[in-house]
Parts: sequence; C-alpha cells; structure tokens
Amino acid sequence: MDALYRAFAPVVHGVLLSHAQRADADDLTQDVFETALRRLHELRDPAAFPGWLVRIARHAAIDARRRRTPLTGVDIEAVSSAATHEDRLDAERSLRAIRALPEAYRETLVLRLVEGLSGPEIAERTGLTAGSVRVNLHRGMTLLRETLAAGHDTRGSER
Amino acid sequence: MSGNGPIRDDDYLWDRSSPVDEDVARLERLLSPYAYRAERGPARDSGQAVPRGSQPVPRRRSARRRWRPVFAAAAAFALCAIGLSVWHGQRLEWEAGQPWRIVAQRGEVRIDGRSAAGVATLATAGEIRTGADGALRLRVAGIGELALGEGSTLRLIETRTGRHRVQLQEGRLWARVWAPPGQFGVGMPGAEVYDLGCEFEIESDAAGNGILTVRSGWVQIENRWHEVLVPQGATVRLHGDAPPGTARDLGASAAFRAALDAIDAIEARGGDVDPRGAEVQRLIAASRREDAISLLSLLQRHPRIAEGPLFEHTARLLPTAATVDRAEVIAGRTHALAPWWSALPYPRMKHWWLQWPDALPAGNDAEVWLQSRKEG
Repeated sequence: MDALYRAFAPVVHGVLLSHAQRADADDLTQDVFETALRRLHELRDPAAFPGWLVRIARHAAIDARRRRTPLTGVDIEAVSSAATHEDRLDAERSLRAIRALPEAYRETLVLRLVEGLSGPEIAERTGLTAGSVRVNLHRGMTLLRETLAAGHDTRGSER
Repeated sequence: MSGNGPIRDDDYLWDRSSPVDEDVARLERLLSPYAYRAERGPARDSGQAVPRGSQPVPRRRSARRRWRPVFAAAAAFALCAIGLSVWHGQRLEWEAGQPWRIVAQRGEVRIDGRSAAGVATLATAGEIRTGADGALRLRVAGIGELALGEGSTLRLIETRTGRHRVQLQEGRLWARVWAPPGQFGVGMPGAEVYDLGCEFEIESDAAGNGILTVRSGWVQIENRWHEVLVPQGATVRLHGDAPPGTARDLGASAAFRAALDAIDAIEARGGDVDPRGAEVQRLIAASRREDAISLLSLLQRHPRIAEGPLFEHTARLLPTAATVDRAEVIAGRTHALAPWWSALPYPRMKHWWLQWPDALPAGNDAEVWLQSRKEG
C-alpha cells in the first residue's frame, strides 16, 4: 500500500497544485487519500482507480478554493532556500501562468513540469489516453510559451 | 510552434528524449521544488532544484507493454483496498455503550470489586483491578487491543463510534490501536494520553508519575501545562499534573539523557533555560540525528533556546528546503517549526492508516509485554 501511495501521491499533489497553493496542496494530498480509502466501496471497476482518484483530488481542490481563505499561508517558502530571488520570482510567475491555462492543459503540465512525471507516466496514473496527454502537453506548452514570452503572467489570479 | 502544429518535435516534453528542450528544462528546474515529497522516504532534492530526468534518456518504444504491470498493480491495489475499506468501515463502527470483550485473564483480576473469573466483557463505568499476579487483555471496541499488567486499576469511561476513553488510575497498560487519530484516549491523574494511530505502553503510579513509551506511530500527551508529541521509538516521563518531560529517543546516550533531565529540572523549578548554558552545550555535544525529536520539542517548549546554538544544530540535523525563521521561533510562533517537524524521520500522523501492521491480531505481542515485567 505504501508503494502505491508513493506512486499516486505525486499525481494527487499535482492536480491539487494546479488549483491551490503549495502548502494547501501538501495538506490536501493526505486528505484525498483518506477520502479515497473511505469511499473505495463506491469504485466498481478497479481499472478506473487512477481517474477516480484524480476526480477526488480535483473536487478537493475546488472545495478548498470555495473556502476562499487559504488553509495556510503564502507558499513562497516552499521554494528551495538555495534558489535565487530571481528564480523564485520566475517560478512563481510560471506557476501562475500554468494555473491560468485551461484545466486539462494546466493539470498535465503541472504533472510534467512540477511533479517530474513523463508523458507515459501521466497517462498511466491519471487514466487518460497517451494521445490525450501528448496533445495536452503540446498545446499547453505552446500556450505557456506564448504567455511567458508576452510577460502576461496573469498576476492577481493566484487563488 | 503553433497549437495545431505537429507534435513530433515535443519528444523531450513527452518522455525526455533528446534533444533537450531548453525552455522545458528550465521550467523543470524552476518548478521542481514545488513537487510532492514523500515524508516517509528519502527526500528528493532538499536544496538544489535539479529536475528529475534532466539527462536525456533513450527513446522508449514499447510503452504499452512496459506499463502493463503497473496497470495490473493499480488494479490489484484497488481490489485489495475495496475489501480493506469495507472491513475498515465495519471495525470503526461501535454502538454507544457496547461492552468491550475480554480476550484473556490470569491471576487475581476483579471487576467492580468482584472476581472476574468467567466474565467475558467490560461495560461502561466498569472498573478492573489486577492483583500482584494479575493480568488481563481486552479488545478496544473494534479498533485495537489493550493489556493491563499487574497492580493496575482501569475504568472504561466511554465507548462509541469515533470515541473510546479509559481512565488508568495506576499500573501498567499496553495498547495497540489502528484508527484515525484521537479515537482512543487514556485518562491519567494529571494528564490525558491520545492515540494518534499507534502502539504504546504506560507505567504510572497513583499520582500520575511514570513513563510512556511509543512503539509505533505517535501519541499526544496533554495536561494543563503542555501538549507533548511522542513518536515511535521515543519515551517521555510523566509527572502527575506537573509538566511532562521532554520526549527522547530510546537509543539516546546516557550523556544526552542526563543533559535533557537537567533542562527538564530547570523547567520543573520554574526557571528559565539559558540558551547558551552548560546544559544546552552538553545536550548538543551528545546529540545524534535520532535525538532531533528532543531538540525540536525543546525549541517548542522553550522558544528562547533558539537564541543559542541549538537552533543551528537542529537545522543541521534536519535539513529542509523550507526556511525556518529564527525570529519567529523565538517569538513562540509554533508554526515556524513546521518544516522541521515535517523533516523528522517518522510516519506522518495523517498517514496513520499506513501503520496497518497495528491492525493485526496483537496476541503474542501483548503476551510478550505482559511477561516483560516478570522477566525484567
């Protein structure tokens, strides 16, 4: 169980991070697994487990967003203390830009660029087809390049 | 590159095949510190943001076949987990006031003043007393097991789904519980002990002086002075309604324990611990990484200690990507210590369900514990 938790925790965390701040994503990751454990009897098809888990994570992130006030403070301290100030600003700007993308691109890009999963790993662990993931990555990255190049960092859209 | 263009140029984005896309690699480097980190295992990058897989790897051609075992593992996990979920839900349900089942007893055991011979259950408000040769084991509702050693007095205070409480007046108690944090609690003279998903043992006299040792998971002790968190492999002294001692690793050296006792004694006298005093210096000199729980507990209980070298020493023992603000710690803002708490090498409390061995029948372990006093 521990090994599979480790395998799916980055996916859950990535989906949460697509919607919520880092500190909240950390907390909610544990909550999502507890929710999944409680509701496992609702899962009829074991093969649907990855997509089912992602949906729980998505709902948890949306619920957290509805609460409006963040569960924890700002996430600037989440970035490595070894990172330069400029890197930290660039990282925050990039993450804001990713979060402003359409949901499908946003989640896939976070899993690839933040959580470090490859395209095949994303497909396997989210239940999406490899083709969908590849398209989402490609189109999402294209939009992200355009946004960052234009300096249009969607400032103020942080939730 | 356009949104509708060919996607064959995105190989690095797809599976990190060469050539490296510099834009993607830079974003990986910038954003990797935001990634999930498994607290229970070795942390990925804690200081430098090196993207995983920044080295190009050969193109992989048989992805579907390669991932088939992982699909199978996920399906198997889901099937097992469904069964586990049903079983787990059932074991947490407990009708209010339903008696607890006595598993075994020997020697002199009395319940509500009468011999317990032939008695199979313990009702709410029922009191167990064991004599000099007495011992008893009983189920904690459906969530675990409890053993009571010789010369002990215990009362069942409350039992219902989500809340099970006993009062240990004196004696020796061992408990192993697999349930969400806080469902099982032990009242003692001067303190309350809450199970946070674990196995632990308590030895106490009628005034609440004694010792608590945690074998797996975490325990929280509360009295009017402090909340003390004790992780697996650690122990803490109980002093009735006076402040409990500082949690310490069972493998701590004699020098470390002596230094910690000296600091606890200063607190017991109502004094202030000198952040650069001899006791703190001795503590630092004798500490290992496993002793970080004690250092962190001290920083929480005595924030001014952070003015001295204990702060830097703890930072060395618990490297973390996040910065711990010294001024915040000194100001007593306990949340400032959160990165170090997270860096401790113990299971997270929210991961109580990963301590699944605690759900297994405890028969032999309980017996071994009950025998330990006779042999020791």
